[in-house]
Amino acid sequence: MIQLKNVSKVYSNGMLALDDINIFVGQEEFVYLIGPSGSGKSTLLKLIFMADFPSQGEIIIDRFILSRIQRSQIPFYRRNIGMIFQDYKLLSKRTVYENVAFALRVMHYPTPKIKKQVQHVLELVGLEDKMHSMPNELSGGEQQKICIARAIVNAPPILLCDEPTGNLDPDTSWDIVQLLTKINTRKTTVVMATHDTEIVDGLPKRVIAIESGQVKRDQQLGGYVE
Amino acid sequence: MFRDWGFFITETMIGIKRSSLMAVISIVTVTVSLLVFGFFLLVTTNLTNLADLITSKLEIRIFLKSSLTQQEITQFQDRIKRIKGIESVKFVDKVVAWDEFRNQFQNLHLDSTDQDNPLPHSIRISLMKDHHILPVAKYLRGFDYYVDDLVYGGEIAERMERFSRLIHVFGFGLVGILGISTLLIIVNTIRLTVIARQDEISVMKLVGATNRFIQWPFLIEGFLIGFIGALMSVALLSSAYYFLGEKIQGSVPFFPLVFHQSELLRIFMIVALTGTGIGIVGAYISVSKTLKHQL
Repeated sequence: MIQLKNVSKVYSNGMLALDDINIFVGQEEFVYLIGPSGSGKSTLLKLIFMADFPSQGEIIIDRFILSRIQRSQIPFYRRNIGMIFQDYKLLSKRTVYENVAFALRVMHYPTPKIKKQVQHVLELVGLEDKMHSMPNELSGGEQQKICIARAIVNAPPILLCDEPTGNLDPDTSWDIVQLLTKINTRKTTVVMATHDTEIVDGLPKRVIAIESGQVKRDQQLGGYVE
Repeated sequence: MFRDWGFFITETMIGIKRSSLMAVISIVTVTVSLLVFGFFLLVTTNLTNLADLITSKLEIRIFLKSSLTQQEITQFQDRIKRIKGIESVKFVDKVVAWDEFRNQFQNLHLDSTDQDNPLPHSIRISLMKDHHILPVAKYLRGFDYYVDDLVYGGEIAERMERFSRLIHVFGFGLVGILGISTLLIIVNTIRLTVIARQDEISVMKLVGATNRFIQWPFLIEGFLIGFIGALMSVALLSSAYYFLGEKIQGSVPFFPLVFHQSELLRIFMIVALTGTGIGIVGAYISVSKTLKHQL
């Protein structure tokens, strides 16, 4: 499903963000990507999302060999991946419904289908009664749920989460991770970058630890520390 | 694609509403630029019309060689008639010309003298409207077997020709400069809208929107700014032209102002299409430049 072969990333300032990474993540897996800030977790997610390109190596996602995807084809590739951010990246002047529907609009979905799918996904994240609220009227956890709803509304096979609980209190964080687990059981591969020890230790899954751009540990049902 | 139009138009309206002041300023700028552009087109058209009219009123007079037979003169007349743009060719017998001359200048008492007729046979040629006298006169001068001398008010004709050409060159130059400045204004206006909506563009990219999809609302906005500006300038120009035109005709009735509906419609169409075109092209340049650097 997700395969990185000898992937390195050197930024233009000479900084080595990823150093010869080899990872394979199978279909329907839930993986924690852990490591301190600046270890390369976000860079790795960016490369998978094609928000940046590797300096070396090959990335294969499902049926896509990323080095063969032309720039103009990137949007079509991205429709196969849901992305969740620490800062939510919501449209502040649009309602919850509009924020989620936005993702389907750009994919040219017809309006009746948009209504149906947005309704369904908002029920899944528990925000069906907040459909007409503006994001700034909601709590951080609820805003993150909008972000999750938007990421999964077209049922992508892969969900990438970049520190999704970074701005949330422990209870809400736990709520969000439960939601991600629920999405994972619906046959979605989830890769979650985090440095939240409580979550990683509390809900053991496969752990890939990255430090200084290298994979230091890849362990099934591992904890935050070895 | 068609089902997206509702979305695009809504997005455009949201964009305009959010930066309404900027949109109004852009529309006013486009209107003013197009007013100057349209005014210049009207002036150019009228001056060209005047130049053509004066040029067309001029006639060419050929003084024929005295050695020519009547048959040769007829042959030459036939050749002249075949030249493109010739309206009329009139043979003036030297006896008739001399009589006319004596009648016209009776104060010279030419009747009382034994003066022989000094005038040669001649041909008067007038040209159709929109045909320039200069090239025809130059061409006819080449027939030196027949032509003893040729006069055509050359000085005036050449000046009018030069003036007409100057107006065109100056006109195109000014129109070019105005066009580019209007384009730059629209590029910057749309860029401000693009910057104001940068977050939305990032989110659109994030959820897999193509550049073309992102561009549409901005292109519609550019179209609307250009179109509304063009409509306003055409409305102002036409009312001012008819109002001032009547005043000018009242005080200078011989001035040949252009009032043909088709000609004016052509000018107003050029103004409207230029405004709308510049609006769309400006928006395209602006948004493409922004999107080009984003992944």
